[in-house]
Amino acid sequence: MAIHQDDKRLVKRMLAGNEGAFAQFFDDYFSRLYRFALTRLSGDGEAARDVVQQAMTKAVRKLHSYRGEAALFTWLCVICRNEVTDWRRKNASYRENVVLVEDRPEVQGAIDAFNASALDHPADEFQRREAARLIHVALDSIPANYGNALEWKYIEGHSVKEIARRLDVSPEAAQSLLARAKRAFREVYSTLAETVMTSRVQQRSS
Amino acid sequence: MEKGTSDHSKPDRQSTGEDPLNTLFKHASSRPAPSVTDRRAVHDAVHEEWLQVTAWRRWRHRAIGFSAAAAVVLAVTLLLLDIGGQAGRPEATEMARVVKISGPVRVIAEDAGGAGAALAIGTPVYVAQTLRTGGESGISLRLANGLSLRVDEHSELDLIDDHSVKLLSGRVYVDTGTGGVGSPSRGGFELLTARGTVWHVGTQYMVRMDGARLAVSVRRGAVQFLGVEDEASALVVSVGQEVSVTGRGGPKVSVTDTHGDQWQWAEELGPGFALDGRSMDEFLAWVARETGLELKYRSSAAKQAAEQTALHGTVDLPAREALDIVIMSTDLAAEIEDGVIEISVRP
Repeated sequence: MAIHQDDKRLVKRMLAGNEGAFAQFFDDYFSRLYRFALTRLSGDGEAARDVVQQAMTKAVRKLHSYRGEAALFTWLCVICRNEVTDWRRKNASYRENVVLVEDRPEVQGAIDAFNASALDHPADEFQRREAARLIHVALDSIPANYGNALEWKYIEGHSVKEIARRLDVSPEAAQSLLARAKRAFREVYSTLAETVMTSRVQQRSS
Repeated sequence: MEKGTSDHSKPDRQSTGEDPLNTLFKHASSRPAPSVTDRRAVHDAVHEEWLQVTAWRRWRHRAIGFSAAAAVVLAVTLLLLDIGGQAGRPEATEMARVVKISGPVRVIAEDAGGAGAALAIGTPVYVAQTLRTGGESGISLRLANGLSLRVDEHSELDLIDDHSVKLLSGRVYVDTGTGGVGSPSRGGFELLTARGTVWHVGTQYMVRMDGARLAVSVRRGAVQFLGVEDEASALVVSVGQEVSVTGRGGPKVSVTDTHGDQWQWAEELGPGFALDGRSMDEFLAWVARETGLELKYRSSAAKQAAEQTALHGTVDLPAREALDIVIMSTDLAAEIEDGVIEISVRP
């Protein structure tokens, strides 16, 4: 099992009381967790904020138990998912049961390990809306600076120079980061899309 | 396959001269972002929690380090120690002041090797000291934020910093005061024990550490309890409940009395009530708070009389004794039964 050394180092620095490490932790994960919760709470921003606050609070209490066996974001998502479940239970009127493809264990594993193979299945029925949503999920599933760089480039249309300025790196370094980000994105997105298609084929045949 | 029309399942890796992600991302908008206000609110709450967690860990490391170092150094340095405690300690941080004291209570400086100095009313106690009460003794402290901390006989308490203590053995009582509110996320008072940590949420509570058994009884308000065995899930203990933890199993919650014998010692260590400029109904509210009894007026006339009765002087007695004396100077009468103080107009 791969150990996520960077995440482990971040946690270790946080446990040692390093403010910079806390800032990195919050900057990297808050928005992504917020979207993770938002999708599972039908876009209720207030509920998502409360759930994420609770999840991150619990996470910092449990930091000492993080072993690096899963990516830190995956570990945080497990806590956040439990909080979403608790929130739904406490808010009895909230009856919607959201089941998302990225909640499946096999997808979690693939996202976590970045080892999905790219398969060439046709996806004629794949809807644009679902594609857009999966793009967001994939952007949130890769390292935060990768997701941001891709969003800035492909959605907001910023130049490499501007992205370099935002990341406080040279244009060459930004270019290199974008290349790595694209590779990571492809792997995650392919896994998600493939799972969606497989799921639909199964639904049809049953 | 025509790109960008039907297949969104994966970014195309074929070389067509165009970046395939351009096509894919045509269907996407920017990801939703939390508002600045939400971000700030969550940041502050999580940051506070993180500070608590790291402070607790630092203290544990320090305590372990100190224990190990003390074992080595104590034998050769015992005779050189300044047993007097706070004297000659310019860097010491004051934690609280002694409000009331009975019997022998000693304060031991971190480097005093087990001996200690006696305390008196009005003297400060400092961070990193240990309080130790003997038989038939007790002490009442007031922290800078107004919180009342009372320590029963045969107790030992480490003063960790200006908002946290560790109960090593014995019994303590905490009253946050009527305006006091604290919680982990607000940086409130923290009571540590070997079995778990207690945070108050505007309350009165008692913590007993008897060997390996910890019991937290809540008289008013609520506390959050976080056991060392399961640091992930804080337990909220409410008024009239007691959570206990022994060497085996998780915390158990049971019902407990909010008044009566088990609270008597804390009442006796309670600070007096300054009567000057206060009304009788304020005094009665203090009595109710100190005793854990419910205050009821038999009639609106009794309530009105209490509100209109102005008091003078100071009474430095436990609440029940103070009630007996003060009420005699008014037109009111008090009757205590089944956890209720009932106030009526004297016939």
